[in-house]
Amino acid sequence: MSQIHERLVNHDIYDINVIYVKKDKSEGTMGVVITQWALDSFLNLKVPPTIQGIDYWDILMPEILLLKSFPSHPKFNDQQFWSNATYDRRQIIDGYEMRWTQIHSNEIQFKLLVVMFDGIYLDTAYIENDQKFEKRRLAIFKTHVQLIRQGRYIECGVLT
Amino acid sequence: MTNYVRSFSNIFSLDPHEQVLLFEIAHKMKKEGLPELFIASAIRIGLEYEGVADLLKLWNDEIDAAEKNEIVADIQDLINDCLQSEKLEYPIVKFNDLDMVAKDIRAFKDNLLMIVNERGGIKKLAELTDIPQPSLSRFFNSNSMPRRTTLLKIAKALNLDAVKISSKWVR
Repeated sequence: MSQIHERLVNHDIYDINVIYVKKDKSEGTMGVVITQWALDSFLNLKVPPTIQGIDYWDILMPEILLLKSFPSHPKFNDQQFWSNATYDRRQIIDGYEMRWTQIHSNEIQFKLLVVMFDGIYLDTAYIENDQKFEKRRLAIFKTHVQLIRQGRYIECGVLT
Repeated sequence: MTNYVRSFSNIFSLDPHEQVLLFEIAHKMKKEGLPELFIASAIRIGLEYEGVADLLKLWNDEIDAAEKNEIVADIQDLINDCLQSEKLEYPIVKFNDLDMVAKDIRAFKDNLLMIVNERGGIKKLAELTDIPQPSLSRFFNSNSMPRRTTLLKIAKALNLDAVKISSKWVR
């Protein structure tokens, strides 16, 4: 178990051995909303080859939590990790992508779509597949961005 | 804030040429046997949501049948998403519980699929519910939380009682 994992799992204050935790408004940082789309995508990742608990705690979670202090962390200047989401080379307004390529010795590339509007919202997480799959995912994401702007989404918790 | 959100959400609009294209796609979908309810809903939200219009155009350009089915299932998911008119808040699910939740959902859907298969299968269910067959296939194959509206349509079509469609992981 990594130090980060231990800290996240065992620290009494954070009690963050969960993906979905209640928002603590006393914190100065932004909460990150977990949408139903994010939850469903994690449920569907429970099929190999996929994200195991160790990947989640050691690799994904610490970097997802960086969103709370967006954009101050240098990771957000790394185009391989963080970029605008695009569809047909056109930027999806308020849509962003987080990418991980160092999971399972580069065997899989993992992507998490993020919406930044009046807050931060986690959308679908998936393993990058072929181009057609990718294009469909981004067309769906465009619609999710629009629905979030309209306040028509399901909130399943907030990462703090 | 509300006004801002509303005005922002109305920025997207298709030009007349693209609007006509969507209606041509609707005609093509009808020819290929997709349910009218699905087609009408898809075009309606396609005129409002750019991403749905993009999916309709992808469907139109696609020649691979399996890929077209995936697009149909994607569009049906978005039709369901667009039925929601406001923000909802659901209880927290712990990451460490996701395995258990996925297994519960899997077991629930497998049991329901057995009933569906006893009553004529997914193809028959698609005819009875007006839900496209690819969307029902995805519904039964995925670990996503089932939607209450979908379960109610299935229950109505197959005359199932409430117990058969009850799951604690329904959205």
